[in-house]
Amino acid sequence: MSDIRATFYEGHNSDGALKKRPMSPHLQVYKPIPSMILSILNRVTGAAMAFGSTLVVAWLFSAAQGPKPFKKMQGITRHFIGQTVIFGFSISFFLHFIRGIRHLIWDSTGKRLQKDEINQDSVIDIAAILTLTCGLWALIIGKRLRNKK
Amino acid sequence: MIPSHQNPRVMRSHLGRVRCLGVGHNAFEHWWTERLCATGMAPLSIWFIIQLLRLSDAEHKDVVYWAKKPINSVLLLALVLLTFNHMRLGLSVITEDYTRGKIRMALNLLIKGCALFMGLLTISSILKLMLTSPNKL
Repeated sequence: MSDIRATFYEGHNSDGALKKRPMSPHLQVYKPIPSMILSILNRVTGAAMAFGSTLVVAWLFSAAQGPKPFKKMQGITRHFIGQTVIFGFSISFFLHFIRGIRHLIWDSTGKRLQKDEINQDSVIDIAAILTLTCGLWALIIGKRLRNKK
Repeated sequence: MIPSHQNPRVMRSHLGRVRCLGVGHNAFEHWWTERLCATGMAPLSIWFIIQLLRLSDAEHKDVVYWAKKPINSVLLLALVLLTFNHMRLGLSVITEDYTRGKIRMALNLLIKGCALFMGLLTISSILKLMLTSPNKL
C-alpha cells in the first residue's frame, strides 16, 4: 500500500466483512496531464508575478528618483540573480498570457472544452509558451552580442 | 409592522434589495472585471515588453525622455491600473479558495492594501517622470 491515507479507507460490509472504501480523488492520486499542470501553473505564475511586479515598480520608481538610484537598479537587474529572476518572470508571463487568452477563448465561445480537445490545445499552448520565451531571449542576447562588437 | 417588501414607502425595487446578498456577493462583477482587465492588459503588456527590450541598455536620460512622451506615459498608466486591479482580483480568488474566516478577511485586506500601495507608488513615479523637467530629475 503506497498511500498512507489508505489506512483510513478500511470499512465493513453490512455482514461484517472487511471492505476497502473507495478513495476520493485528491491531487496526489491524479495522473499529471498537460491541461492539469498548465492550470496549476497558471495560478502559480499569477501569484509569482504579483511578487515579481515589485521589480517593475522598483524600476520605474528608481527612474523617477534620479540617475544614481537608477544606476543602482541597473546593477540589480544586470546581476546574475536579477537576470535569473527576469528569466523566471518572462516564462511566467508568457504562460499566464497564453493560458489567459485560452481562458478568454473558452469563456467567449464555449468551445474546445472536451477532454481530448483540452489536452490537444494544452500541447499547442506549451509549444507557444516555449517559442515566445526562447524568441524573447534570442532577441535580448542578440542585442547584447551586437552591442559588444 | 408592515414587512418592507409590502411597504409602499420603500422605493427600492425587489431586485435592488437582493442584489449582492447571495453567497457570492458581487461574484459576477469580480469575474467580469478580471476578464476585462486581462483583455486590456494583453496588448499593453506586449507593448511594454517591446519597450523594455528597446530600453534594456538605455541610460537614465533615455528612460526619462521615453517616459515623458504622452503616448508612453498614458499607456504605462493604463497598464498599471489594469495590472494591479487584475492582480488584486486574482489573488483574492486564491485566498478565497484556500482560506476561511478571519484569516481570509485579513489576507484580502492585505492584498487590497498592497495592490493599492504599489499601484499608487507606480502612478506617482510615472507622474513625476512626466511632469518634472529632465535636468531636475
